[in-house]
Amino acid sequence: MMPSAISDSGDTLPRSRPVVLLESIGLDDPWKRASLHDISLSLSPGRAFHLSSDNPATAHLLMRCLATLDWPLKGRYLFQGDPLSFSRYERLLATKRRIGYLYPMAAMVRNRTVAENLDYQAHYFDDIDLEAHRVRKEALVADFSIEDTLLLSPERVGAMAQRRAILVRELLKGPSLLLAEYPEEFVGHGYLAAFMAEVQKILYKGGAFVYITNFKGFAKELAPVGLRLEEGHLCKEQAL
Amino acid sequence: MTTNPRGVPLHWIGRVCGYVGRITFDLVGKACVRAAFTLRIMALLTRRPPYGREAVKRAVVEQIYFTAVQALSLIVPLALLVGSAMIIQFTKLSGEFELGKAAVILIIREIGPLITALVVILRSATAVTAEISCMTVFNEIEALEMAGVDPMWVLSFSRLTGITSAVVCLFVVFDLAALCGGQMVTWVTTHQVSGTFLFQVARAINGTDLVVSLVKATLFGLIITVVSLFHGYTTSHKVSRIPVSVSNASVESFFVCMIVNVFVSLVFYQ
Repeated sequence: MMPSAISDSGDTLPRSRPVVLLESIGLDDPWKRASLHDISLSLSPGRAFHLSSDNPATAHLLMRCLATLDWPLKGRYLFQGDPLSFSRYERLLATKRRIGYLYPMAAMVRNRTVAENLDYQAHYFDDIDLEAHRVRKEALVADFSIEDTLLLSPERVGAMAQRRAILVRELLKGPSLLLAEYPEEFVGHGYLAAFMAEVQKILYKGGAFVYITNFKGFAKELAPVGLRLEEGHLCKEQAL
Repeated sequence: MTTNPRGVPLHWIGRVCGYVGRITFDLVGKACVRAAFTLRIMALLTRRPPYGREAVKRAVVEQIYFTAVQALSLIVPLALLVGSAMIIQFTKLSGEFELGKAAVILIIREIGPLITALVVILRSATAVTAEISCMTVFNEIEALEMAGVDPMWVLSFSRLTGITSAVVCLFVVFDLAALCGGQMVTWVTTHQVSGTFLFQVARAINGTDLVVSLVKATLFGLIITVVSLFHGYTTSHKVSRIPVSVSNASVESFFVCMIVNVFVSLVFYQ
């Protein structure tokens, strides 16, 4: 049985409200010649979703849409019950803060050190408990072994360590929705257990996890709902 | 072939009209996009950042340091050289008369703001365009957005205020240094009594000169920043487009500054 969702303060969150609800979403990416048609999707709290597609560009487009980086041309997007307005990017920033997104081209800001990148959000917003952030950061930095990289700029850090640093940055947000494209490429096999533990924490707190992967190990541990995109349509939604 | 009564092929007229129309629409479209971007950036000046005031403040101070303080070692010798060269030429032309007036007209009204703008374009506009282009191409701006951080505040506002105030300050330094250079040259190469040149400058200059020069410097600062940021943000996702954006930004900045310089001079002195 799925544990009841709890917020950061330990309060129980309503289980009935989906983390994300898409209603008849449609959008195009003319550069990659990918498009989504009439996508309706509900991401229930505490559930993992495995997204697969006949065209990787279409799956990537849906992930970017869920991350609010690509804006739908039609339809409605509700994040934790609130409809999002895609008229101005500023209005989406508060939502983006609550979404962790790991994708192959994810980057760190190069003119800051890795530590500054990890702390940037905490120091930018007034409503973040800096002490709690510090404790959480130290734990994640130790779990993903990026202690040696903290004082370096991202360019001087190896590719794998940089990806783990990006993962730590996204986890530090305490996301309600974690999106991951090929997360195995961020953690390798060495840190998979630590990553799965963090995903389980997000799900336990009532978040949702959507991922694209070639690694079958996730399905065993997460019992995800399978989402299948074919020719831009969401054609199948079933428990794997 | 269809022809008009004079025998000119109609399809050639159509092609020329189509070409002119496309060019016109393209230019109008580009102008509208730039105007919208400018308005968006200028609107930041009327608001306060909702979050991250410390981060924004830090970025502004960094920008003033990079643009103004680090440029002092370049602008002061340049101003001394320009001031000296101007006075040498004008001494030959005018026979040592009205040197102060010449200095005001040439250095304070026209050359000062333009050379200051040129230095800032060469040093800072190129750097800003390259930096923002890299951030766009390598998804760093997306990374900021995904953190909930507004790039318009931490990147655009800081550069707008930092570079504009730096251009105004550098212009004042340039004028002072150029007048000092002029003073040295008149003292060494003419028969004028020491201090006569600066006295002539003080007599020739008026409030309009100061206001117009400061207006020009402020406008140049705004133009340089907006053009650089625009080209930085609109760099398409290819590394090979970064040098193109840098080149376009610097040329466009200087060209627009020249046009504005002429326009302001026409408005105030014609």
